[in-house]
Amino acid sequence: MSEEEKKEENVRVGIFVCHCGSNIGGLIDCHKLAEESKELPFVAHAEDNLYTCSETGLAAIKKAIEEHNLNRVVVASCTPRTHEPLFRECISEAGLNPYLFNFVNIRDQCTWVHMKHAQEAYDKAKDLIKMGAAKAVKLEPLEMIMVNITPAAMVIGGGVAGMSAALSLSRQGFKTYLVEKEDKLGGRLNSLYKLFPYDIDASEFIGNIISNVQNAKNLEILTSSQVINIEGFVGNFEVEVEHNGTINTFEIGAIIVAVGSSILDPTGLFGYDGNKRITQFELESKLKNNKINQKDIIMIQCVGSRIEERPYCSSVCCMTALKNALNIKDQNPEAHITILFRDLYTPGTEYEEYYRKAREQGVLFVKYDPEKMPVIEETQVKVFNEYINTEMTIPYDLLVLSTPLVANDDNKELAQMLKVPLEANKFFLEAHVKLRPNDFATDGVYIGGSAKWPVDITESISQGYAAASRASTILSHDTIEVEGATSCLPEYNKSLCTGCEVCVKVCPFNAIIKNEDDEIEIIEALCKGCGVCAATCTNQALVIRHFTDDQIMSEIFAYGGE
Amino acid sequence: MSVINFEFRNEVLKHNASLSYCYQCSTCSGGCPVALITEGKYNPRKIIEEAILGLQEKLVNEQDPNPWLCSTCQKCVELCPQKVELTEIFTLIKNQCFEKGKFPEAFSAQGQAVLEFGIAIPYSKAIISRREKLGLPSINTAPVEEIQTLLKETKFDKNITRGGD
Amino acid sequence: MSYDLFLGCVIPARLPYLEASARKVFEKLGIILKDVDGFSCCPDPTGIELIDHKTWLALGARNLSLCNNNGGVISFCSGCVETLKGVNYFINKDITVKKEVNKYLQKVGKVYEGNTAVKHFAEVLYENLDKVKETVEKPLEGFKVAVHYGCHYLRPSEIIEWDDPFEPVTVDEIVEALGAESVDYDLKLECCGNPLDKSDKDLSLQMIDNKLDAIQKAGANCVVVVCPACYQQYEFNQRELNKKNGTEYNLPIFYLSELVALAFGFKPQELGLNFHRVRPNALFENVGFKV
Repeated sequence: MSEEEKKEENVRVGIFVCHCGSNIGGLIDCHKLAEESKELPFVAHAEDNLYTCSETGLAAIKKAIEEHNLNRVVVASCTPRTHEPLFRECISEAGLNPYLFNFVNIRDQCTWVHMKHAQEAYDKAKDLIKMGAAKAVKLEPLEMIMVNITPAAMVIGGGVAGMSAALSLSRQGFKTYLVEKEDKLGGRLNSLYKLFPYDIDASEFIGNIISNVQNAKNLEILTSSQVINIEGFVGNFEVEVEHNGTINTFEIGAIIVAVGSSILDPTGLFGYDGNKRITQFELESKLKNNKINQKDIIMIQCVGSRIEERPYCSSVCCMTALKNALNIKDQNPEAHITILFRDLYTPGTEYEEYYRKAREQGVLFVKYDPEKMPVIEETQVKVFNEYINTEMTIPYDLLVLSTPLVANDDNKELAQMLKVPLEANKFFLEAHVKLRPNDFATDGVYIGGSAKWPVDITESISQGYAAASRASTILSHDTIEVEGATSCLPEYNKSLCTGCEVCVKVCPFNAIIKNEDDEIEIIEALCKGCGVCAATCTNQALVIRHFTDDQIMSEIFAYGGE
Repeated sequence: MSVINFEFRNEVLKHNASLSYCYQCSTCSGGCPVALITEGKYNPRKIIEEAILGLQEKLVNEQDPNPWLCSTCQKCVELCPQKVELTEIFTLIKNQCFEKGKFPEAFSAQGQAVLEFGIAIPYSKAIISRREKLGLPSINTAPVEEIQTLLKETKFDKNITRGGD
Repeated sequence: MSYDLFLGCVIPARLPYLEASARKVFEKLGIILKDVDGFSCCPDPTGIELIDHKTWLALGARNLSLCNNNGGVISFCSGCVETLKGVNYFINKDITVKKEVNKYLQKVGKVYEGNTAVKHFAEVLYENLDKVKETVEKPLEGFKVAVHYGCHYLRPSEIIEWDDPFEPVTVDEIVEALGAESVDYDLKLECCGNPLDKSDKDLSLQMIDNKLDAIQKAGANCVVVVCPACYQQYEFNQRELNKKNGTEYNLPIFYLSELVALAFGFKPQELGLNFHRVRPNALFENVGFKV
């Protein structure tokens, strides 16, 4: 303790309270907060800035570090999510270790959520600064972890999304492996007839992409191949791929998941028989090979989707139905096509225009109520039309069911190998729906296309490119730094570890292993510092750097007293 | 139970293709003054949906909703986001009702007058004298035979003589 | 300036005093209206058109084929104007319609190419608004006028091609040019309900009741209309509504040409204002309008 105290004596904390324009300063008195902070233990300097993140603000931090000989910096402002890296870099430029910075959130957590209670917001901000300053006293310098990067990528899935990703990466000069479990590239597009909204021939379209892939430099195609094991971490994956009974291992820096999706098996739904009552997908194969001669055709939307068991909208079926209806009309203008729908989903001006075109060509739309499902009889469908409050019958000689895209059955195995999560419907789950839509929480692994969610071809291609672009942010470096605030088992705590392996089981990133010496080992490049292991450790042997017990307790004591 | 009638649907579409653009958003009914005071009993959107489905029986025979309750104010036509020409479609339906003799008697009186006099309101003696007092000129209206020849060509004479409900 | 005059049926054969005021106004403005022999019913766009579209087209085209004035044809009635503009619209929109119509006209030795310009009399007044202002001798001070545009003066805008279908200004501006005040009121652009008279008298009455109620609440002391159907709906139903519902409507209804004529200095007597069911005498007295 005495050593600790001695250390603390040299501690000089600087506090910077940001007005964030009027976001904070408009509600509470930032100048007063800064003045009051000067009274806190070990605080050598405090000031308020209109925008601490501005050039002026950052210059003020650097100047104060020099003038007041500061060795800890606290900024009380917006949110660490967006601004912590900036301030860390700032104090680093001024010669301090970046981990000697502490962020206090007084905008999101004070003036925004308590915008109608100025006094309470002020009091809370004052407490948070007090706590933040106390923790800052206890901060220790940490080093970022350097990881070497293997400049090679593997794209899993040779459909349109995967091929787009692979082409993009190989054209940027990265060695790229494209793994496809079928014996040829192309995925679902191989079975489609035409593509909306411009009626492009699907075979021609995908043929061009396949030939680009085949002719690409740096791009190795592995068809009839399956990923069977993945070890390692960002920049350093070892992927085992099985091909006709032989297993090859590849050294990979980044992985893109583009395995696509499957089509729901409609057996048992709306009298499906694969003959007179078929799926849109089957209709499309028929259109590709023959003319459709039936005169009365009914399509039913949302077959097996947007129901309790499968609550999501498959997003591509409306446009697919419109497309196939127009294609039939093209072959046979006299055909009567009725689309029974719940809601028509045709987003964007072009798709909306396509919907208008379908109405113009005489495609008939009848809305049905899921509470009163259409009844399929041998030659007619009975449907309740709520627009006119009338039950009506529509004859058919071909019934087409719009079934949704569903997650592949083998997603679970791949997810386990990659240590990435699936969502409730077993599609792959991205790191953040808005902020990181094509990343996984696991570094070095990316996602694109309908493996994530049902998307159409345009969107698959965009996402393929997006995933490639994200992967290249890793592959373009020889080394990368990863977060230094990780879990660790310090030498002085090793005797506390009983080897119970609870930490190994709870770690969501598979970052903890029991090594060859039968000791718990943390793979720091995989660790996200989430703290689950330390919280679970029965003997409190594990320590989370930057969030040590001592640091957290100091905050609590600062707030409530010892 | 109504059965979809593609023939009638196509007939209306051929007459006015704008029908196909309706997606039942209800802007027409929302702006319709008659829908407002009849609390939706008269509903232009419903008539359009029935026309889309070709429900001739409902439109012409049952007249549900009653197309003759349209005041022809044309607000719906102006409001429609898909530029459906509702009143023109209603006119087609009412023309069909007329051919089947299913129309309000008042229309018959006006039609009969036009057939008989060439004008909807013949000049009474009292009006002629009032016109003179007001210093207005006398009017030479259309030769009746000429109008009757024309109305025979359009078969109006037969349909109007048969009368309405 | 000169136009062929299309009178139609309702004004000359039932409300000739409206015609008298209109003729006087145009004469005073120096605009020549030429009477043409041989017109039939326009025919009624809320009557004949609804029961037989082709007959409506044929009769309308025949009427237009009789016009040969370079200025085109003018009418005092919104219904006639809609019909004549509508016939032009359909004939010019679809060549097969034009052919079919001319096939009928051929039987009576006539042909119509679709080139006759059609104007509403308020349209022409608005085009000569400066002249109207100059000609005012007795400004209509104290007249708080509820302007009723009526439907067919404005809509369908694709056929009428005149004022804005939902934010019209022309009649308001004419009324203000006469020195009167145009009073805004709820339901200003709603239908008077006249066409429903043929199919449902009660609904028709309910619609005019709602309009009169809104006009009264807005503090207007008279109404101006530009269509004889609207005129009759407002004029003829006030007493009936009062009897039926116990309301106390007593609003003078003016045709736009009557208001203009009064402002031009014509005497109520020569305009035939005594033929109105709701006499405007009390209004004249209240606002101090010397007649």
